[in-house]
Amino acid sequence: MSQLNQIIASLLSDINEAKSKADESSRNLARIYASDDVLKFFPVPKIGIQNLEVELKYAIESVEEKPFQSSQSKERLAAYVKNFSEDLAKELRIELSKESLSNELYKGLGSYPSQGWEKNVAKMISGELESVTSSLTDFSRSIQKVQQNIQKSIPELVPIAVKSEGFAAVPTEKGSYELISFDKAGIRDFKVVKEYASEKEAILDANLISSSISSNKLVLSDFSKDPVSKLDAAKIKAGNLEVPIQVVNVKAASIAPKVLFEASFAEKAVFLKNPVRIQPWLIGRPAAPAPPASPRPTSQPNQEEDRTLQEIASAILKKKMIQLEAGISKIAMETVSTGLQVAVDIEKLKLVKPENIMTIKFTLNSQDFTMLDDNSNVSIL
Amino acid sequence: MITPRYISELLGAPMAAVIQAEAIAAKATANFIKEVGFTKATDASDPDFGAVRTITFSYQRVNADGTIQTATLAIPLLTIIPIPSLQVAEAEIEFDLALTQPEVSTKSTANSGSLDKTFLNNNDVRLRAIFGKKPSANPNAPASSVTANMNVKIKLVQADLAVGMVQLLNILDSSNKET
Repeated sequence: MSQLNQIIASLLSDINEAKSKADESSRNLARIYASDDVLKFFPVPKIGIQNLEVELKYAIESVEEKPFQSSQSKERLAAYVKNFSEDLAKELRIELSKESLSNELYKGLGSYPSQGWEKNVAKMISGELESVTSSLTDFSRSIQKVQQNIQKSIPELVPIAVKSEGFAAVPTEKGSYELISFDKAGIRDFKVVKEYASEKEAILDANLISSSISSNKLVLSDFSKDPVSKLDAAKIKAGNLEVPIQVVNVKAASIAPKVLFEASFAEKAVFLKNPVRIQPWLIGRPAAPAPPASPRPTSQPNQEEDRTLQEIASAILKKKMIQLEAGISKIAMETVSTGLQVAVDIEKLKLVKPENIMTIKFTLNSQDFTMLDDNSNVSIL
Repeated sequence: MITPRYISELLGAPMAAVIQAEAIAAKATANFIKEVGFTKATDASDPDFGAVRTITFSYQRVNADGTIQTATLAIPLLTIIPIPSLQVAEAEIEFDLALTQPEVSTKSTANSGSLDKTFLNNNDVRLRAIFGKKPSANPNAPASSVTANMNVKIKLVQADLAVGMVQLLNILDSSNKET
């Protein structure tokens, strides 16, 4: 079983070799003619092929489509993947930044993600995609694997917030977490003036404050107003925890600090003592099942992880990976070589039904045996 | 059992045969010229061919003043008889081949030049065949082991001498003169 192109190439090569044998014969005769007193006046016999027709019967045994990667297609693929990685990282940055600015939970992130974040993510994606560019064989599976790998990295690359009973541990642009209190409308109310290394630590404090509110043991003191920022501040004591708090929403500063904080905590007490279960049918969202083996503290039943940013990242990744597959598929299609595996030997052809025998016919003329220069004159080469 | 031969040999053999046939014809013409046109009576001036064979005859010629004179005329024989000179102007060769299992060998990549090696398959295929009979027009006819699956038609014409060949002939010609 050979490829049809190899068979034709072999035939053409044989035709050339046959012509060279005829020319060789002419050369030998030329020597003889030149040495003969009479024959030297005769033209040396030399033939030219004016027309050559070959008709070959063959049977197709199989059709093979093999991707081949030339240096050109490899460069194209590498450029495509590089652009894709940069585009994906850019889109992630833009969308995450948009959400951070509009979502109350992530407002503390400021201008997150940074240009550096985008650059590093693009590099990471590009690195992951190296396996795809190295071999186009089964690239669909490779892309899936890459998608899974990037998806696994998302929790490390994109922060979450954890909500718990009117409080939320939210990420900040400094890379730390802070504990924010939200009012009924979900607007930032005040924050605990303390930097937390992780959301877990912040939530532990939130739980402590919540339980103190529930048991009416929370003590508010040291009410003040920052002379520069005009933000109200106070201090809370919940069990062993004693931390300063500060109003986040400057509009609320018109009310006296003591009144403001007391009203805020009174509202929280009502909520904590009479938790209102929001009906899923009202908000059109099924109740999220609690993760079975969550490493985060689960003592508070209403604790909820907010993965909005990660979900946005996952959605963008999913959408872009479909585009990547289509793009690579297009490049792969352009660099695929189709080969016909054929049988030409008579023994095999005898076993094939006559209707399955194909014929290829090609004709060569005198021009095909002549080397011409740029001016279409016979080349002396 | 006939041994299958390479296609190049099967194609080249009839082409070379046409050339050789033409050479044989030319040789015959040369021999005819030597035998008919020359006496073979060698002398110092022409050791190979001898003297030109002529036909000598005499006739009565009337001069301008009315006198009659006997004149003798010698004409080279070659000028009055046709010289058999044949040249193949055009030849058509047609034959049918039955191909055998192609030989596949791995090409050395050293000679592949700058061509993209991944595009050009490195496997070299050589075809061998035996002469076969034309496939029967009747599809129900029993298949013979030598029924051909490849038909080749070659039309040959006299070619102009290539530049290199002309140069070669000139060199040989001048070297002959010098010796």
